[in-house]
Amino acid sequence: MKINRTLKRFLKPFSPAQSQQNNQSQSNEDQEQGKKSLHESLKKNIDEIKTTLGNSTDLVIREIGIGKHGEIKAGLVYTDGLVDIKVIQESIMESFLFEYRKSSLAEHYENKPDHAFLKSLKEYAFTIGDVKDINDFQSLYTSVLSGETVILIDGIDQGFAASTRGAEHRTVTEPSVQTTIRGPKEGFTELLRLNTSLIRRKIKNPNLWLETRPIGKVTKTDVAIMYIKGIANDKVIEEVRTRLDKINIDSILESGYIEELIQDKTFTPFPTVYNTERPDSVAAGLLEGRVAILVDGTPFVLMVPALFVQFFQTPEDYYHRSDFGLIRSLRYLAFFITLLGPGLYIAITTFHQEMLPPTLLVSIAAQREGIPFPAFVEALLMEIVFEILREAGVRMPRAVGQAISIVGALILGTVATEAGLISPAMLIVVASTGISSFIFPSFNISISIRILRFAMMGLGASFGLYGIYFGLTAMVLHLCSLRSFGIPYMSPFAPFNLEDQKDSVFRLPWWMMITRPHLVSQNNMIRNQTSMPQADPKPAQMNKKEENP
Amino acid sequence: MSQKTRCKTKKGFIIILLLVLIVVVNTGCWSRKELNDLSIVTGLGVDKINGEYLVSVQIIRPAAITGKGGAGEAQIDKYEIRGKTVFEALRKMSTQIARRLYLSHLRVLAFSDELAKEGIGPVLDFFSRDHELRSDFNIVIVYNKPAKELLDILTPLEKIPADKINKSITVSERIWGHTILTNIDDLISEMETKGIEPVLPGIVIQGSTEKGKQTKQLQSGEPEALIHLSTLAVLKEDKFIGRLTNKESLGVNIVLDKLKSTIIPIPCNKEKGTKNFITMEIMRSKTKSKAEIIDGEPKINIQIENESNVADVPCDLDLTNNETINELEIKLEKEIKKTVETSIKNVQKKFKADIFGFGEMIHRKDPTLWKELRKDWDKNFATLPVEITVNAKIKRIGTTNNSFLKNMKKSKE
Repeated sequence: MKINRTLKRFLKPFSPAQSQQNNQSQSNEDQEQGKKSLHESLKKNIDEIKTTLGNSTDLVIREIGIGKHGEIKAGLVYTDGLVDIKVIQESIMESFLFEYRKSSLAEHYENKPDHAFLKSLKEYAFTIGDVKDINDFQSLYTSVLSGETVILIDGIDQGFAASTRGAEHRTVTEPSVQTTIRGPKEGFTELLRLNTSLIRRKIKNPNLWLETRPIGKVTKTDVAIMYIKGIANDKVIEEVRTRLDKINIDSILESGYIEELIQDKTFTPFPTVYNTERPDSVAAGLLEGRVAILVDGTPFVLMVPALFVQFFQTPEDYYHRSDFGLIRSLRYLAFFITLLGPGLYIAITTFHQEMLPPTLLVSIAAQREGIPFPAFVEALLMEIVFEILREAGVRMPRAVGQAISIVGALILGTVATEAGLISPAMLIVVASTGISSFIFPSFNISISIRILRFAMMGLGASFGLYGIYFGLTAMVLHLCSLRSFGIPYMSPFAPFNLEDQKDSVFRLPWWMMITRPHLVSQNNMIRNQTSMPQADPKPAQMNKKEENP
Repeated sequence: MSQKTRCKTKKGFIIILLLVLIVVVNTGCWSRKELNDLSIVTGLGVDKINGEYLVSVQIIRPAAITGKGGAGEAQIDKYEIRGKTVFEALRKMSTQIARRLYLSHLRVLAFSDELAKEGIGPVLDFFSRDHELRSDFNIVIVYNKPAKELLDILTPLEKIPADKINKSITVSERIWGHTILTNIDDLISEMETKGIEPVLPGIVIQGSTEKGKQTKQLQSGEPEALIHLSTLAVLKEDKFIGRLTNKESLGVNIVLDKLKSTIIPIPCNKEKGTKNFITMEIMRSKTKSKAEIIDGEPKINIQIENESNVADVPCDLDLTNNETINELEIKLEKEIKKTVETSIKNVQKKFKADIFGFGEMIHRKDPTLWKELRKDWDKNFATLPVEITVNAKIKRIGTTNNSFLKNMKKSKE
């Protein structure tokens, strides 16, 4: 705690607390400017828009005449590329320039456009669903820049925005990070509305609620909170709201920004916010009482509260027939291999040789003959090379990817052992820990384990098994101290809950999964009341026997 | 927060950081020993020459063992040095070997019978005291030759000679039953206790040690020198007093309830002319020994129960007949009883050393009587009456019924 506090003090010059005042004054300016209401004159309005947006070339301002003889001047404002041109043509232009002109309404307001005229226009002339009023410049800009078309009428200090969003976007494709063998093959895209629709399609329930707010003073990114009212814990929802409202940043370009700004603890290697690009994963989380945070512009959706066990679960665990957790326990095993593999190897071969069976000791000793480095340096070298390889593999252009991975993994490894720099046993240890680190369904957790692995290696090299024991103890204590949005991170292990063990290391068959996780939702606990499926005493009778001669 | 307290916490943070650093850096690698800085000792021999100990060690060459070394390379090195104590000699050995001796993987500790006659106790203390040693090594007595020669001999199949000794004792104890695995803890407690004396496996070197040293030993199919498990050595306290015979070794094994499996041949007595034997394979054996006090006189009751298979029938017997089986069982019982009886009697007569632990049994049964008896236990042990009952059962007769020999004879007739 103390370290934490002091660290904060070190960072103070960079922390938001001090710079908040500057920001505040800035945002006040913003607000004053935004509150500026529209002018009555169309020309004035248009001029103002042009100056504010700096005559940006993708801004389209189209002046038309409506009314019986086109005597009422109107302006359409939209951003090219964000709108569906077809919708503007068919639903705005055509209805204004042709349909409306023919209608009897046009005669009514021949000369004097007023608010009532605007209302009638909105109510009778539009063939677009989503229309809202615009009173000030701030909301005008927001609308225009998010793909809506704003219609301004000369002589009225009010306009309205019609939803004509239709920007180009990536279509729904198979998730590239969290892949499964069985299960839905659709993943989120960068478009918020498409993402919410993907979840809605899975949960057709009026209690699935959605709140949206723009975050980011400059980017004004739409961030949506999604939860199932009555299942999600209201306190958690409220906490999410307050934490989101506290965010005061210029931009949100990815959900990672939000994650770091709302997470419970910064100085921990473990993630306390879950992220996924799978709608089925989000739907399952919502049904367990979690709250999803969707951010426009990224396919990665956040979910809170996130528990330690969650990072070991894949959607597939629930789609295949229950194996009672065999595969899942493999992941826990891999967790320990990744964490302790090199550390244990170093500790045992440099401190506790008596623990090895004689034949194994002899074979390891033979491999270490002539190796110039101590085991710790050897392990450190290989681990670092491995991490570099992995990072390079992610970063490098696809075309060279394969060549590098072959060169890196095969040639480097073989040559290093043949040259007598690295012992083959060490290579096996490093390779198996490397492979184990890829088994986790969530990439977050493997990052944290990889960091801790180096700590374990250092402890193993300086204190032997004692060091590893203390390292593990410290890790467990730290894990137990973590919380994610108020929920203990290690539940259902600590605090222990017998009933929730159904879906922690084990995954019991669905008919045994009666309740939702206890600490996550605490509302509406019963989720399943199907009894155990029982076969009829006999297979369906084959009566054909008698018919056969 | 005031400037002052801020300064303090900053200082505190730095101090904590430094403390952690000191702990990690200074204690770090305190007892670290890299594998390639160790010479792994698998065998250790102790002889006595002119009042000094001659300590010899067998060190393995890991590369040669895993096949990385040149062909025909010896897998071990042997070094010997004199010293006033074993530990002194071991440390002095650093003048001969570049690496630190590492004793945790010791497989065999060998004493020459010469040294053992004077007592192995003074030497053994180091091996029970040193922290590096595990307690699972074998302690053996080398008959008629110095212990250092045992460590010289190369073994073709098992690449580590000391491991070969360890393995053959283990295997032989399990399937032949004439030898006993002992570890240092049991040995020491048997030496300490009045009512039980230790036995140790004995080893004989066959052939010439000089030739056994050469790598030729590994290349030829018939080794020039052989490490041969011999009969058990009887110790009185820590002094070697004599060897048992083969049959006596088996008997001791049965009484100590350490027998797992063995072979017992019984003569077929129907055809008197031939000297054929029926082979019985003991599969399971259980011995219960108890002391009984009758009118103040101690007596030992030994109950032996075992199950066996018929393994080889070269004589004219109808195995399909239940009575033949019963007869065989009775014969087997007699045979076992004889073996046990003679071995107990011989030990009582020849060595007067209670290797069976009868004294402990009496101690447990009647501590006050034991107090009297222990004063002159050797004499009392020599005259202790022992009653043996054997219950042998034949479970299986193998994959055929009657021997084909019997059918062969029949068809000739």
